[in-house]
Amino acid sequence: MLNRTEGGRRVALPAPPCLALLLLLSASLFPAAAWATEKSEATKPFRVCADPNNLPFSNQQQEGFENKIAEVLARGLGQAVAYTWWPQRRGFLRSTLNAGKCDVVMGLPADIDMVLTTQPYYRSIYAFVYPADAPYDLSSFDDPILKELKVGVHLIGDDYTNSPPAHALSKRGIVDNVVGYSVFGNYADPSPPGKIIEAVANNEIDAAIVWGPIGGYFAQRQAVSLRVVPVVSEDESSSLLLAYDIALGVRKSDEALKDTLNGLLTQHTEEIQQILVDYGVPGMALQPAGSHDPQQDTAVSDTQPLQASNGQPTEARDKAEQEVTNGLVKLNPYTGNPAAISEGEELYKLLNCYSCHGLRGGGGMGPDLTDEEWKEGTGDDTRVMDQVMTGRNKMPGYDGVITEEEAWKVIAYVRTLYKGNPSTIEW
Amino acid sequence: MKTRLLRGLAVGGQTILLVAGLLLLPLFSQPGQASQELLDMQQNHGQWVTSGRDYALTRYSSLDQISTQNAKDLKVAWTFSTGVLRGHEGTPLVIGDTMYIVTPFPNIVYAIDLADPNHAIKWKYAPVQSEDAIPIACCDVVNRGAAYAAGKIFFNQLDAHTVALDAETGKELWKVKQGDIKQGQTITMVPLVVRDKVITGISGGEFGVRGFVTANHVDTGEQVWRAYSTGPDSEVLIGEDFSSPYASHQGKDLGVATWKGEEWKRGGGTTWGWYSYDPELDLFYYGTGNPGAWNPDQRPGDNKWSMTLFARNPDTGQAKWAYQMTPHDAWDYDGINENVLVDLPADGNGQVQKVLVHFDRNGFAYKVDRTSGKVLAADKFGEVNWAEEINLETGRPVENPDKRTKEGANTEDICPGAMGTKDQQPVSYSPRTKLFYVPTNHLCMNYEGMKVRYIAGVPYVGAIVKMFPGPGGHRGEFIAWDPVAGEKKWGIKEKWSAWSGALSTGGDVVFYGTMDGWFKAIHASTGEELWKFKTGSGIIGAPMTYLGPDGKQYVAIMSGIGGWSGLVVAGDLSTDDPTAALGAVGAFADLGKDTNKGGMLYVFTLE
Repeated sequence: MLNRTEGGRRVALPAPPCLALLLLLSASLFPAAAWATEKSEATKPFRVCADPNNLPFSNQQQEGFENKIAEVLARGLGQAVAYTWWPQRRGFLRSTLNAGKCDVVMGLPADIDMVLTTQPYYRSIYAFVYPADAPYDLSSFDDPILKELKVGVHLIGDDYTNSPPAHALSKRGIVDNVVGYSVFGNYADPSPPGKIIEAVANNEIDAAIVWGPIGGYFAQRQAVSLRVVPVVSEDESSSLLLAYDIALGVRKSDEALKDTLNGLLTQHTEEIQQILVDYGVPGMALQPAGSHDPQQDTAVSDTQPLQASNGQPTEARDKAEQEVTNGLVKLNPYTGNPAAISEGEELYKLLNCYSCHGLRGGGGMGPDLTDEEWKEGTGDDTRVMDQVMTGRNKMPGYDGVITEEEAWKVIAYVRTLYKGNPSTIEW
Repeated sequence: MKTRLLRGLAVGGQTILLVAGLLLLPLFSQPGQASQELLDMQQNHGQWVTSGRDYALTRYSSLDQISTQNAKDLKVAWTFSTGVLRGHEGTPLVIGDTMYIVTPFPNIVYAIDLADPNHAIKWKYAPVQSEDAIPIACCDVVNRGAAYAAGKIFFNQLDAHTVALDAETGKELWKVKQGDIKQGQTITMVPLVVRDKVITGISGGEFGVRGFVTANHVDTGEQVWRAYSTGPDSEVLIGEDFSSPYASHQGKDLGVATWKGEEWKRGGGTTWGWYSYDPELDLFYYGTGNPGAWNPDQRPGDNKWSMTLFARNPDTGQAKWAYQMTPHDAWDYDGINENVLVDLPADGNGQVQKVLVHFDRNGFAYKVDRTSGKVLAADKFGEVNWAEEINLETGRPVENPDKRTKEGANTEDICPGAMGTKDQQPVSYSPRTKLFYVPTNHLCMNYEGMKVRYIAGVPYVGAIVKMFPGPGGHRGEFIAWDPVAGEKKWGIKEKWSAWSGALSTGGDVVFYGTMDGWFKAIHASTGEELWKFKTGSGIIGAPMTYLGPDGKQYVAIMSGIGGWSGLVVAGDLSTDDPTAALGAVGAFADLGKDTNKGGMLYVFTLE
């Protein structure tokens, strides 16, 4: 709940929900873990890293629009797509693209620093989603009716960092009637970001303000008719970003690949735009309008192209990133998931973890897992995962013994044992 | 060396005779004579040439300058920091004018010059070994010291290597790998040297390690034989020489037949205790540890030869006899405790029996005919409720079915706890008082077996254990035990487990340390406390005594808390998880209030 955020916790600078996944980029590169390396294949594939459960963008069944766009690009190269699946949480780029597990990541903000980005292939914006038969119209944060409605927003992480709409509402004193939904949701469920739209369809909330592609996609899949209306930009002086150019990311050294992809994006613009339309992505003119045809960015739903404020995006995001890496987002798909934690506890026993670390993490042969010293020394969940799999000379490695999914569950359980200062939690 | 031996002449009459004989022998004899040399050196009670002082492991020295009258005047003579802050379980050696100590991991060996007024470090050997060994040491990264023979110092590294050093220079002579840390194999025990063989065991009973004992040639390190604790007779080295008075111990390949499937391959029975040797019978004695896993339902059967006392020929490794104390263990009553070789009067008939006395983790003090492996007596020496008695006809315990643990059920209030009534802390036997001095634990436990998957190099435990103080609330007791009567003569209750070894002396003063750091001198007959000194850290080492170059008697002890019981402090463990450190934290959570980490040698003498 948003009011939880108000209850004394620091309010982070806004970060847009789907993009938040991409902003959680730790500056330090950790050496590539050897335990999830893709097999090299005889014929060179189009290697993409993507989230296995993140519709409408991607999933393991390759049903997302980014999956479809990747297929278009791969076909253009005469290659097949080969995926490395990885949850889009903090450490995603470090652990995937920059660890050499793939060559391309789809759907990144066009001005992200950690990778080299291609030209943008779409631009989208936050949107209101509400029942088509509602007795009100919504298009601006300044609509007075917003103070009366029960409004859902996406929050990042389990401590409910604000997304841009939440921030915008809060600035206007719209707080008590706002309901927060974790953008990561319950990763064990399909399409976790879609829960907020289901809530609109079920009348649990009156309206949701979500990142356009999420709103457009899930609105089409409800039993009742929903409207998806892009948010009218707020005042120009704000650094709040509501619209983003989206591009492909490659490693910084891959200039040639970037050029190739730019060529493909231009060549296949129509096909790509059709996919976006099919998925209900509320589109906008690409910024800046330049090398390609801005008018082809089809607006879907009942919207018109909008100019979004551009402020000082890089600076704003840098700050947001800093806040986020300071500890506000979970990386582990099972964090806080009771069923997975329970499974993790059983695995913790079956796999002998407790023999070294104690049933409640108190330690023994291995270190105490409940204190801040261990938490600080080990780092975030991706590092704990690395520790579990490789052992890093401190414990027996479990690579080949358990699956990554099992390990995430064990880690989710271990995190419940923590007894240190809760305000320093940053896994 | 010679001046040293002559100095022995100044000591009491008992020593003079022994030293006179020794002077006729070459000081450093040929390897084949190593045990004769050691036997001879053991006769000089001014030295401490093997960890138990003698092959019989009596930890008794006839030195008598420190007596029940003057022990109150003991003062610190000198100290030495080992530079290591983990559990110091070992005993220093004194050979000639040099003291040798081995630290916990990283297992630094120091030779300290006792003739130098500054107690200078004569040499220091700091092995290079993998830190991967640290997390697979179940019960802290302890080391129980060095062995000496034929001008060489032998010790074991935690990473399962045996090393021979030149005793004069510290130069490494050879180093052999006994086990693989990737399989969970480590070594903490002190080697035994008999003739030209250095004999070592292996640790890793919590990792499904299949226990073994290995003999390597003292000159080259070359392996001579290896005897496993489980498996076919050909690998356990059970052959024609073997016999047992018990039907359940007779039959072919019991090390396989008493297991389900191939569980024997990860069946434990590790061999990390103190070894004794009888030169007359030419047999050495040791115990094997718990079967793996701790969950008994995962390994139906007697699980031979875990929990077993073995008598073996040191040249061939062939077993003469074996006796399994705790068949199908369900409590982690690891049977590795030392076997002290004494000759005792038999009940009634005035004859002398060659026995070994073994104070087992399971709470019974066994008196075993060391020629045949027949149990003569087995008496409870602490709080025991898992069994009523040991049936001397069958050799098997008469169990209390309520206390046999199972998978998926929490069996409560079992005594003793998994640390046993006595763990590794070695006893002492005084031929003067004819009493054993036994540092004991007074702990009970709850124990719940759990299904567990075997993964090489990863713990293979399968039990949740919580230990707690036994009835009365104290956690240990230092007792005097009459081995003939099979009963306790007196006891000193301790707040903490008495995890230090014991030393008895010709002055009828007995020494031991406590986990909260007190080093105590006790009247050997009455149990009266004569003196105590609070050392900087808890004591889990075993004290020794020697005659210094100045002719004075010194008593030395390593202070440095750790070991299984002290891991909560040594390993900075959470005090909130009673199951931590395999259940130790339940009993020792508050230890950190009474002591802190350390690593010091303390040496005391009279003013």
